[in-house]
Amino acid sequence: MSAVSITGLLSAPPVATRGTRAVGGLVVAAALACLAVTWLVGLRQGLLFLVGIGYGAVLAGVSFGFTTGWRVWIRERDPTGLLAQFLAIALAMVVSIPLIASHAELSGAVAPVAVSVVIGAFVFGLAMQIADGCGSGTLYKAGLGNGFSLAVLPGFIFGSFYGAAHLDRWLALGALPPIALQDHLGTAGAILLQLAVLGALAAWLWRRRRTTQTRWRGKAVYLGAVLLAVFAVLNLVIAGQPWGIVYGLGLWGAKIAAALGMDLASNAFWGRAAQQAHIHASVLTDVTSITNFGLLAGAMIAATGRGNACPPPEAQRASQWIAAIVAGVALGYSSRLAFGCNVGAYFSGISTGSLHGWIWFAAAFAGSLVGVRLRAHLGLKG
Amino acid sequence: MSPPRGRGDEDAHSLGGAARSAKGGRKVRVLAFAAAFWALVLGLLALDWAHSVPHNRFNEPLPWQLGHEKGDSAGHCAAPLK
Repeated sequence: MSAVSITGLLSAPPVATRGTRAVGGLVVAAALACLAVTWLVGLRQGLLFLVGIGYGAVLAGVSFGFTTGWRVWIRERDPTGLLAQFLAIALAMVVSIPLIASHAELSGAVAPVAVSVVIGAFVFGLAMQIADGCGSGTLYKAGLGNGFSLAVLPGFIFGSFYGAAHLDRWLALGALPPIALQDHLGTAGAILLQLAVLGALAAWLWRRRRTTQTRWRGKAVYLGAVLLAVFAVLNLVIAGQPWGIVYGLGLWGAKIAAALGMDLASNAFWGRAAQQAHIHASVLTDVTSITNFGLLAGAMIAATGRGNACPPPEAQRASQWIAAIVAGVALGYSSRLAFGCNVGAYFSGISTGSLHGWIWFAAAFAGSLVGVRLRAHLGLKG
Repeated sequence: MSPPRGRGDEDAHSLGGAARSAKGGRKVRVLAFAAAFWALVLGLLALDWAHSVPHNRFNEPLPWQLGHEKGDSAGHCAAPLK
């Protein structure tokens, strides 16, 4: 063995050691960021940053993909992802609905049952299959340097901003007031009904399964579901409202628009006093933004730990890059019409008893049936 | 003693090297994308903090909402009319 190769062996640390050092460095950076947020903005925001780190670590650590979970069912009839999602929703629900019912200071993700929800959720379900990510997935994969998600994210931000800005016009198409099932059926009634529906859906998926091995192996994804439910309840207890993603993205767009000189004071949504206050305050004071930042950090730590912090770019052709940008705008705009994405409407809506969450799920799944075919047509991998 | 390497082995070897090189290049590009993303995020956060209404950290809400009086409304994607 030559002297050069011996030197090389001695100087190059093993991959595991390099990975451990990288994870250690990221954990220290995240801890410093948490301290900085707590010092600058307050303990509540610091705690929510930690909750966000938990979300990101779970999502990236066990590859808990909302979008992929639906796609592998549609293509392969593998119910694993959907079953894990139902488990997370059910566990969050059995704690969240009683908490909200007994504490007026806590709010659910309860939105109007509107025509815009059906249209918005359908478009969102379609676009998320093209983009290969919902709100959380796009955000954390962009943070990992995924070129495709980086192309999706700016459109997502500005689409979300414009969707909120136009929301009043879409609501004029027709909307019932927000319906919380616990207000009509009681706490126990709402929980039992939703558990029965989730259980029936899970049983149907299980009977129709062809495989359970396309993406997730072992019980890690179910452990991830339990942890997501725990973090969702912590989010509710600390912030007073459930987990959300896209409001924060729209707010970032509104702040950029305001900085560029756009007058938002007369806008039906962004002109409201509460929204104007958010636009003029730091994003670090916004509860949705701070969990988004935490999610980014947590996903980076977990992906580095797993050794997959460098996801390959998914687009090779110009048409695929254009599709990424268009899908980003569609995701952002439609998620505001639908009062949330997979997180704000589907996960948080259903787990806090909102009827709109179920309508969102049905319409978005129908959109995904189309989106999966479009994805194949565009030649996108995965 | 290892068997003599033929032309096919050399081709395969050079193809493997090209694949490793492409993979390495892709990894560098992805790391550059991630670094640019995080630099942009941190830069925008600093800019936003500098240009926002100053935050009074001595007038904070309590660390958690449960059990405390409801404060100012926070934004949520499912709450359009706040």
